[in-house]
Amino acid sequence: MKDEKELIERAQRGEIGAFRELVERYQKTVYFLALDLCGCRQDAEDLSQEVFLKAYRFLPNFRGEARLSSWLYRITMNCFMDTRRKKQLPTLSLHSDAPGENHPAELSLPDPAADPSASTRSDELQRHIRRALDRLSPRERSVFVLRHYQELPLKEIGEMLEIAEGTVKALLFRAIKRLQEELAIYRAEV
Amino acid sequence: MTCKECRKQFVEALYGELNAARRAEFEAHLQGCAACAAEYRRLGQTLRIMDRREQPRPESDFWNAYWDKLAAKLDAETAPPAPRPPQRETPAKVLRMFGWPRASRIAAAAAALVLGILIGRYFFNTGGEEVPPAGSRETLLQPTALEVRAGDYLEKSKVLLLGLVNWEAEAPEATALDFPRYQRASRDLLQEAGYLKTALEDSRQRRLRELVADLEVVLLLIANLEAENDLSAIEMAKTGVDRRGILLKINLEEIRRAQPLPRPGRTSGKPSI
Repeated sequence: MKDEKELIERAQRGEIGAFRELVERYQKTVYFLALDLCGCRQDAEDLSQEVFLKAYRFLPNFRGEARLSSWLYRITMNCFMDTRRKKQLPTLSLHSDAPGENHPAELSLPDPAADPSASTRSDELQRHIRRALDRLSPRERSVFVLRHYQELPLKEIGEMLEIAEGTVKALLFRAIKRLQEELAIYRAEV
Repeated sequence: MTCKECRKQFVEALYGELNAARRAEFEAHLQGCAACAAEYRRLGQTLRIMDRREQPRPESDFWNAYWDKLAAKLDAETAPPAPRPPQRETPAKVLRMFGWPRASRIAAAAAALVLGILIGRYFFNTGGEEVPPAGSRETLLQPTALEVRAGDYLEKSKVLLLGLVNWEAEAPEATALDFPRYQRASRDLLQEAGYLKTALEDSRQRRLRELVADLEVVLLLIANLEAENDLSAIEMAKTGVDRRGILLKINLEEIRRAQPLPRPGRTSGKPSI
């Protein structure tokens, strides 16, 4: 594996091949973070590509004080917040009118009397989880995704989002409480 | 430890971020407080439910095409003006396609040329502008299909609107304007506008999207002209083109799209939240 610092320097000089190597190194990391944040593949792809476009533009400002992965995480969060602010990403909603991955049809709560197959129950759980995440505010969702799925320490999340660690804890607590309300029907299963 | 202090530590406890001493104190409180213990247990159950979330894994094709898509977007931002592909429609061909008479075609082409030169001279004098070195990027990066499609749309709309603004009811060739075909072309462009507005949702394309929307209003007016002698409606459409500065915007957009964006090293600032 080539030295990352050298790759960054070459990319900063405008070498597209070096930038490509960096993209290929981090595309999965950024994409899956974007997927956690957006909840659907198309938005995740768009967001992750926007992140690399921004990274390309701002690469000369990258001084190497933080890890490149942290820098990319931060850009991803910025892009996500921007996108949500500007156009209210079409995320999963009970009121969506088109079925599909991005706009699932109205969700129904599981019928306790019914005995659905395991796969149906699993699909339903996945939809409910996505819906519960969708109901979080962008900041709550960001903090939750970064701590729970990306496993970043609270302190690092605070630095990344430029908010106090206490605020991170408060947002995360609120997020978990809201998820708890949304997913209460599944608690008996765990 | 009070219940309030205990609850303040729920998050850190759930994610194992309490040090040994605080952890011991926290657990001691839970052992003596059923309410806090129950609340802590519920939060833990919620996190275990969230652990059961599944993420779709893209196929390998997705990753293989990932760079190509990104490269196309980079190119759209950074590529210098590319030579026009030989198979592309010329303005004259487009005018013929719309069934315009020769006199109108010449007038429209001349107006477009003069307008383009003036705008280029006065607003976009780029003498001495650094151009990205020729080589890998230019060959690697091609315009996206959307960029090409938007460009065609603007070009056709411009030609159509030039004919409109240059049309005079008293002019000898006025009656030669084939309004039904003119309106059909407007309807075709309206359909294209609908597609482009959706496809250009990307915020980076805001200016282009707004231009498409402006154009749509005028095209709608043209498409719905009652008759070719509906002079007041034609005048209204002409005024709309003028008032919205649509032709100017189209030319600016075309020039902007042809400008190379700075290479890395010439930007400043940092991404903002």
